[in-house]
Parts: sequence; C-alpha cells; structure tokens
Amino acid sequence: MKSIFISSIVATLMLFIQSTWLSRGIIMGIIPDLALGVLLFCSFINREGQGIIASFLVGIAADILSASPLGYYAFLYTSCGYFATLISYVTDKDIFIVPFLLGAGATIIMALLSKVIYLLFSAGIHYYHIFSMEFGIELMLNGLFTILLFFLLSFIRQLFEHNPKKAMP
Amino acid sequence: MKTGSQIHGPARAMHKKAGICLVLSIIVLFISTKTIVKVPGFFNGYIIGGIQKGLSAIGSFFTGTIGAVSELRNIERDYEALLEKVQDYELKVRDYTALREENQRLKELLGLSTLPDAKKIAAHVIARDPTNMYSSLVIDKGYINGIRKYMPVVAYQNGVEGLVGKIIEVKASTSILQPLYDQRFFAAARLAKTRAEGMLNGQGFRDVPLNLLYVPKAEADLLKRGDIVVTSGLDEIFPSEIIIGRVEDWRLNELSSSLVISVQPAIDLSRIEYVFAIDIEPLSSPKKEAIQ
Repeated sequence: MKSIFISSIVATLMLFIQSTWLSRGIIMGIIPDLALGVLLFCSFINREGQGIIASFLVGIAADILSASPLGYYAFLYTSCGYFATLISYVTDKDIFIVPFLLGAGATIIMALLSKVIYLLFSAGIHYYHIFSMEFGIELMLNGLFTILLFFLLSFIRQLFEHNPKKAMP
Repeated sequence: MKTGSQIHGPARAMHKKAGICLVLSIIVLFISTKTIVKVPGFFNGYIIGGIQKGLSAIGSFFTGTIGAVSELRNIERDYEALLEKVQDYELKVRDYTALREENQRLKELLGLSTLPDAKKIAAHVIARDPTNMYSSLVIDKGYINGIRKYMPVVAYQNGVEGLVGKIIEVKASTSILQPLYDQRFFAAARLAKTRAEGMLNGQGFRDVPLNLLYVPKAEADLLKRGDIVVTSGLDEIFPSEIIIGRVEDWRLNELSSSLVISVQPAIDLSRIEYVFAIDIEPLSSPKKEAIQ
C-alpha cells in the first residue's frame, strides 16, 4: 500500500512538473514523460503488481489533467506498468541498458496502443505518428530520462518497494 | 536471468492486478467517450487548478529571480540609450494617439471594427498538457469568471489579433483550451482575398503548419504565398474575419477535387502567455436598432 501511495504521489507530481515547468519541452517542444519513468521504476521493483495499480491511478490523474478522455492514459500507463513488471521476471536491473529499453519500449507500447484505442473508440482520441521525427525524439528522451530516474530513485528505493526483503528482483 | 520456479508465486497476483486495472481502464474509457464523466467539481476545479497555479507561480518566481541578475547588467547599459529615445517617442506618441482616435472613429463609421460588441475575458496560460499526445493549454479562468465551453480564444502578437483555439473544458477557476494546431481542431475558414471557403485542421504539433482542406481546385491559380486566411463564421463557433494565418504552400492532388493549403498561424503559440476568450453572445443576439 505504501509503495502504491508513494509512487502515485511522486508520479503525479511529475505530471504537474511536465505540465508547468517543462511545458515548453526540451527538444523541439517535446516533453519527456517523467511520470512514466517513475511508474516503470515502481513496476520493475515490485513484482507483485503494486506498480501496475500505481500506473492505473496515475493514468486517471493524467486523464484529468489532460484533454484526453477519462481512462485513456489509465489504460496506456497500466499497460506500460504491466510491461515493466513482466520484464522484471526475465532480467535484472542494470544502470543503463535495461532502464533505457524500458523507457523506449514503454513509449513504443503507448504509441501502438494509442492507435488501437483510436480505432476502437475514435471520439476525441489522439494517437502517435510512429514514423514522425517528434516520436523519435520522444522515444530517445523517455529512454534517457528513464535511465536518470532509475539512477536517482535507486537511492530511495525502499520507499517504492512493497516489501524490501522479498521484492528484490 | 530468472528460473521458472521463481516466477509462479507473485506472478499470478500480478497478472490478476494487471487484468483488473486494464479492464477498469477500458470500462472508464468506454464510458467517458460515450458520456461526459463529471469528476467531483471541488477536486477538479479547485485542487488541480490551485496546484497548477502554484507551480506556475513558483516557476515564474525562480525564472524571474535568476533572470533578474543577468538582466541588471543589461539594464544599466540600455538606460542611457533609452533616455535619448524617450524624448523622440514623446513626440511620436502624441501623433499616434491622434491617429488612433481617428482610425477608431473611421472603423466604427465603416463598421469594420473586429468584434466590436464582443466581451473579451483576459486569461493567463498557466500550464500545458502534461504529455505530447494531446496539445491542450490550461488558462487561469473558469466558469466563475464567465468562461463557457466552445468559446473562441484569440491573442495579440506583434499588433495582430489572431485565432488561438477554443475552450473545450471548463472548471471552476481554470479551463482547458484546444489550440488550433491540435489534430482534433476544426474551424470553418476562408481565404481573405478570394473568399474561397475551406475547413481548417491542425496537425498535432506547434511547429507544423495547419491544413486548409476542401478549397476548390480552381483557386490554385489565384493563390499566392502570404495570402491571409480568416475564419468564415460558418461553423457558428468562431466569429468571422478573425485572422488565422498566412498561406505557406499548397498541394494539388490529381484525384481530388480540392486543394490542401498549408497555413502558418499568425500567432506563435510557443510564446503565448495571455489570451482572450470571446463571449460571442452579444454578437449573436440581434440589436434593438437593427430590428427597428
């Protein structure tokens, strides 16, 4: 419960930072998804699925902050949280490769699923243009910022862990 | 790498949680795309708006403080130069005021004043969409300030009044504005010179020009780069004759009966800070004099 609560609070704070301080973007107006990085970290270190629940809650918060229909980011973030938790079963955390692949992979998953949601629901749904330059930049930014967030959050890892003794991947 | 025996314990619980969350998301998404889900007004209207306003103010404070240090160096240098200029400008201002008054009188006489009876509500852009998928802006005025859904929003930049977008969600003290570069933004527009009509659509990114669709092919011969595009007012959301931008380029598709014109917005939305929501009710209600 503690890990879900703390992860949700930190990731929601990241959403606010994205919408205010980082609102002009970093490269070509593209905003890195810091909230996604926090959720991936929480999902990766909690193999019992606490990160998935936090992803769902933060997704709802993102839907409220954004112009997206309610449930849109909840679905995308939950899927990314699920993806990170599954990856934690087959590999261990390292400093660079795994966080980068998680960040970049989650961005690709969001892009693909956004297209699926667009086809299913259509009304007011936006989707990524996967072959655009903007998407490429976002992919790189998310990958790099996930590395940074994994590094920083590893110092306070116990706050994000459900049970520090059992949940070490 | 982990072995299969390590996986089975927590994995079942994890799959269960993921399944429940994903199904919940889909249900919520299904409901929200069909009906408007009302998040409790207090939470949605005050707390979120308050946090966004607070963070925006903190950001502005630090930016202002850091900027002020370097700015002081420049101010001293510029001060002397400006003193000389001020004297010249004082004379020019007198002439300008007289010309402005005359211009306003002439405009009223000709009936060309842009939105003369519309009430404009000034607002500050305090936040943007937290992700790149949507491109909405958050302004610091809500329904308590008179903002309503679908109000058109304009801004002034370099002496030009240009279209910015429309209000799509209104909360108590903040509102969400859909900018014209949003991929779901549509507006009835026309070329100011030839009066040919079309449908304006955003491309999803600030730096990518807008598309003016369904303009008849015959207009291609009359088009020139730099032609002004304005709202036509046919959609009954945007008043007519608000400047949208200038023609940048156009494409001719042989199989299609219409042109696709690229339009560069008149307002640079990456620099936008203040906007005006237009209450067009006074415009739509007929005047007594006109009826008589």
